[in-house]
Amino acid sequence: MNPFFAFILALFVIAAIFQIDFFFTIFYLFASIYIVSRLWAQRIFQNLHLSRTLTPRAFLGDEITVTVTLSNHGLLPIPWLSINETLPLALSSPPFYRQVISMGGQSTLTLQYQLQARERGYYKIGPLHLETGDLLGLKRQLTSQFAADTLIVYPQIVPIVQLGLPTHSPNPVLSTTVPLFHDPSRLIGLRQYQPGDTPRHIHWAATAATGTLWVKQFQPAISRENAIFLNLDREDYAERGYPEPAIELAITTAASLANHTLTVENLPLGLVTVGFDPLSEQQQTFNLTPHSGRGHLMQILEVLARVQRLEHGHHFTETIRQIALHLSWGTTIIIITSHASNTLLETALLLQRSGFAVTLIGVNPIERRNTTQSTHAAAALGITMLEVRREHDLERLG
Amino acid sequence: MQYNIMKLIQLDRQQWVSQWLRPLIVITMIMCLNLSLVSLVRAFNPAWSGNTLLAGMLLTTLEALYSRRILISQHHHQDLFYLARYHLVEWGMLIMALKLIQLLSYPTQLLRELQLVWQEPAEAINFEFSMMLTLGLLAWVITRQTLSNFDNLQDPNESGLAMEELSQNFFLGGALILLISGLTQLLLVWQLNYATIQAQIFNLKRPHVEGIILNVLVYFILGLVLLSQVNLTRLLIRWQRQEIEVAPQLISQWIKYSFAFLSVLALFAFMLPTNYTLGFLASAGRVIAFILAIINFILELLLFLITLPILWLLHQLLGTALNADTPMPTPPPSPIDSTAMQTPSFWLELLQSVGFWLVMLIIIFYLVKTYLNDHPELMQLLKSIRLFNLLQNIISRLRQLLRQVWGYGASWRPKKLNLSPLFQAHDVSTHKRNWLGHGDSPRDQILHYYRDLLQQLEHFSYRRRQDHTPYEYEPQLRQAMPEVETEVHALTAAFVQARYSQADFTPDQAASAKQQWQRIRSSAEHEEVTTNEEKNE
Repeated sequence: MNPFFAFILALFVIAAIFQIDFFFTIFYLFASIYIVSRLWAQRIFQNLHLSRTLTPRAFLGDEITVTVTLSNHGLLPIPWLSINETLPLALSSPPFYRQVISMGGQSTLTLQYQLQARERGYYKIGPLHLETGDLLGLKRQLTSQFAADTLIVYPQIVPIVQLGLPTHSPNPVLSTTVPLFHDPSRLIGLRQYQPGDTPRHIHWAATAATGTLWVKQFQPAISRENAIFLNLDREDYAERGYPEPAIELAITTAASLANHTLTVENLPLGLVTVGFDPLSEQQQTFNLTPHSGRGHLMQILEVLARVQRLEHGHHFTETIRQIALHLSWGTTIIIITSHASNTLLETALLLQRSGFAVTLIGVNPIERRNTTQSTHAAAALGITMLEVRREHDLERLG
Repeated sequence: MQYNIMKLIQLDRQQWVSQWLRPLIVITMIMCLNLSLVSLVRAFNPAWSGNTLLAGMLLTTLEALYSRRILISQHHHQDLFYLARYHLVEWGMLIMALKLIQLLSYPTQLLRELQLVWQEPAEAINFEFSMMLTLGLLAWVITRQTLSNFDNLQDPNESGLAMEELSQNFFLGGALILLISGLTQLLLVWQLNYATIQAQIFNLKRPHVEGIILNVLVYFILGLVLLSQVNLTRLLIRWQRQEIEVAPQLISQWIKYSFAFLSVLALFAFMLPTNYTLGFLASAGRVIAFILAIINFILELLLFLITLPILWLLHQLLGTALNADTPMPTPPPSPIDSTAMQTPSFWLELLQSVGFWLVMLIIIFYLVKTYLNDHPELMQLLKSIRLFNLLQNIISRLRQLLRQVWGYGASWRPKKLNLSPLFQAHDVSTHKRNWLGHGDSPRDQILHYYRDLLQQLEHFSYRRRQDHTPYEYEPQLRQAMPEVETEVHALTAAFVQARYSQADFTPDQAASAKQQWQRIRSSAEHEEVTTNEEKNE
């Protein structure tokens, strides 16, 4: 039995037996201390309102200010409130923000702390653990928590001065004499309907005017779309030693290429990668189809910010083959991986023969020999293979 | 308000607390206890001053403080042999000092006493001296133990236990001082002899004793101050160990809040009625009789008002036919018994008695309710007893009835244009007012159960984010309480249906929602208890 509670009972019995008025007053005092302490402590979290403000996205090297606002809507003060915010080690050292405060009734308190965006990633800021209690330590300390917020730190982007990829053109779709596909935005004329023509291409206005079926004729075009296939399989990178720096460099390469293609060259770009997604906490295939614009770049960067390496091997080449089926004919495929294995070279050759422009980018900051061997093997097959060993290499790629 | 720089609390700043404040409080509290003992003995023997005993107690308490400080400064407190020798010498000196105090307290008989001690050393240990020695040893031990507990507060692993022991000692001492003071008051007020104390204690019809007992008041005030201070120290040490920054104004605000908290409650306690002239049943009987009298008066008044126009009409129409002696109806007599009002203090006494019993009932009800809430296993055991269930049902019916009466009364109040319900349709707290009104439709009941659950779960750290829909919140709950996964899903689905569909609901569905609500609630309580226990471990 709680000693305080037992004491109150004893007080009651003593007061009732002796019938001394003052003892009843003492009994009232302790009973009211017990009751008010409990009610007060219970009300603290009911009246406490919390909000956390921070920029949800940041670039590498940014300093992020997190503001925690606590409002006590109750009339009673909060004698003590322990705040413990759990933070990612990559953003803050030590990985927490702790504070003990005291708040008056109907008051608001603002606390601020800084985070350093030192590594790209998808981070949870919080949860914020709260602890409070009464003045006399009668009630067991009460705990509560405030949900975490998220922060995305984009990967590093290296400005590319020179890019030697076949997509080096400001025009996303070029006309060609080779009939690769018909661009429905480029109408060049009409012809009479022939069996087998798709009804979607019937020119209804001309058909109605002439009384015979006419179909639209489009200009043949070649796609200048780009798709990055990023390999995040730890095992592939581990063959060369330290996988983490290599994977991070691969992500930086993908982000830099995406930034250059979408902002400098204004060409559509897609991203395909298989990795661990901290948001859904499972393996995820990210397939962003080629699009243009800054909004699309931000989407790609968000994926590159949060995607994590895969611990267990998956069939990267199989993924490439499957996704490539849905890409436009003539798309430039950029495969970023550690080295070109025979299977990958086979896949690249198959894609090249299928009409795609394939470029391999070997990322390996440690080993050089094997990458060079891969480069020679790719060159022998007529496939462009570029090497990236450090971030500086990205400035003049190709 | 914004903190820019928070500095780590240096507990060294509190040296004066451990060096002076706490010892002073401990000494005063022990002396309060001793004073009550002396008062009791003096009630039997008014000729005995008791100053010798008090001086002896003060000496032993001070010696206990001083010797501990010396031991700690000499770093010898781990050496058992040294400690034994040290305390033996200390107690030898203390015995001599106590005897000297006793001898000096009777200066006129000093020579005769010295001669007696010299001739017959055994005579030196008389009753008073034995009492001084026994109580002195007790005070010495209590002081040492209390100081040891204060020291243990500095050890984060021991601080919880130390705090517990300190509170237990305070409560034990409090109960003792009350018992001793109670007996003393009985003896002083009625000048009883020892033989009749027992009879008087259990004579509950004796008059109340009024007035404040100063040493008891000082003991409890100082004890509460000490508890608050010790709690703060314990927390500060814990935060320092965890390297948590503490707001610089926390200590000053702690003192301010403690002072305000204790003062307000003390004022409140002093304002409450402390005695009663009527017993519980008599008070209740008077209240019920008064209520019945009012009801009776209202009925008679109504009857009078109804019959008055009829009789007046009949009198006008058949005035001649009616006997001139036919009496007109008379207004009902006042519900207040005039004989009872003969004494002017009647109402004051009744109010005092009713107030006293009401406060007692509220306190007892709250204490029992809290205790049962804190001990769910006992609650389960009690629920298996039919009588308890019956009592619980009666209480819940009474509460329901009171709520209905309140609601009925509220509906009679003049209506104001109130637009707030339009804006508070989703506010959980607004639904608490008509919580579980059994007159509600099954749909409303389902809505109430779910909303109450949300409100309850806020206390159990499963707070729903404001932007979460019921179905978004459901996985979080299921993950937190996998054992009631089915219930969580069923109640969520029932709520969504009740909230957004036009379907009709049966009482069975409401009953089923109630069962699910109960299971989830008890599971949440169980989870919370387990988590807290793990944390405490």
